Amino acid sequence: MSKQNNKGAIMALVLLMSSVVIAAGTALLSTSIMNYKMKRLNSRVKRTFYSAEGVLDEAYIIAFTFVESALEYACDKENFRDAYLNFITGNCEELGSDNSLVKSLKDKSNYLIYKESNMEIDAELFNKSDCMQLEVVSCCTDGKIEKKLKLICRIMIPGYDVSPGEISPEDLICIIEWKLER
Amino acid sequence: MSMKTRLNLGFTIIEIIFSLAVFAILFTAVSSLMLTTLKVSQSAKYQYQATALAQKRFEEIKASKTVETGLKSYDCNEYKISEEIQAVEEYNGRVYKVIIKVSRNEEILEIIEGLKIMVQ
Repeated sequence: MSKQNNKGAIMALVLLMSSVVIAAGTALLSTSIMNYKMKRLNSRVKRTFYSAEGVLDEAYIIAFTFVESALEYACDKENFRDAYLNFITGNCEELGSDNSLVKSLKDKSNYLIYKESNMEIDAELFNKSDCMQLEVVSCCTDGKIEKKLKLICRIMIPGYDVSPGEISPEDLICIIEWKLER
Repeated sequence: MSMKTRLNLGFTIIEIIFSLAVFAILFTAVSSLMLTTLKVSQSAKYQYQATALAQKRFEEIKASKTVETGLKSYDCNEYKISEEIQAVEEYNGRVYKVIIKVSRNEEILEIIEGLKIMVQ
């Protein structure tokens, strides 16, 4: 039996071991980089969420101020309730323009803080039997990240027997729901 | 001593030296790979903790019944948190702009901006 030729065995072993270590190292590095990217993405998602929430916050304040203006407008009118309703829905003949609550909320120029191009806002007002329901949807995007939030508010309609001095805007508008749509 | 044996003399030591040299080169490369992995993992950890801290602080401010305007900085473990709260004049003191910055070793890791509203 001839002697087995072991020439180059150590080199082969070193190369084999090294390739295994390099493969494991590369896998570890790619996992770490993926993990880091996920954390950065998480950060961007949170920022987009807070932007969308900020838009809704501002929309709520615009609605609140609008209700306050409606109260001020209606308090010296003969029919307080109808004047208040007309102001909210934009049917005030004496004010001329069609400046309803929904229109104010949809108009981006009314937003002083959030007026970036990456945000969209939509508002709808539904008439219920004894109140109105305002639904505002804000959508903020950052690349492929999109965050959509919905705010549902109830706007009360004062009764015929209520005098304007007895009520404040805080009594007339209240948040029912604040939810993440997407 | 046969001709074949004489030809193999000293081969193993040369082989080992050459293999060690190759191993040393590869080890240097792999160690730098590992070091990078470690740094990236640490950065991911710091980023996540900074985001969580900023979010926690922002939610605390939003939930509080009072608001203190101005710039405030303080340390939280190894991070530095800077809060800037400003009243938005146009909204008659009902809206406050809040900016939370979390940094570590002078590097800003997270910035969260939002609003705090106070109507009641």
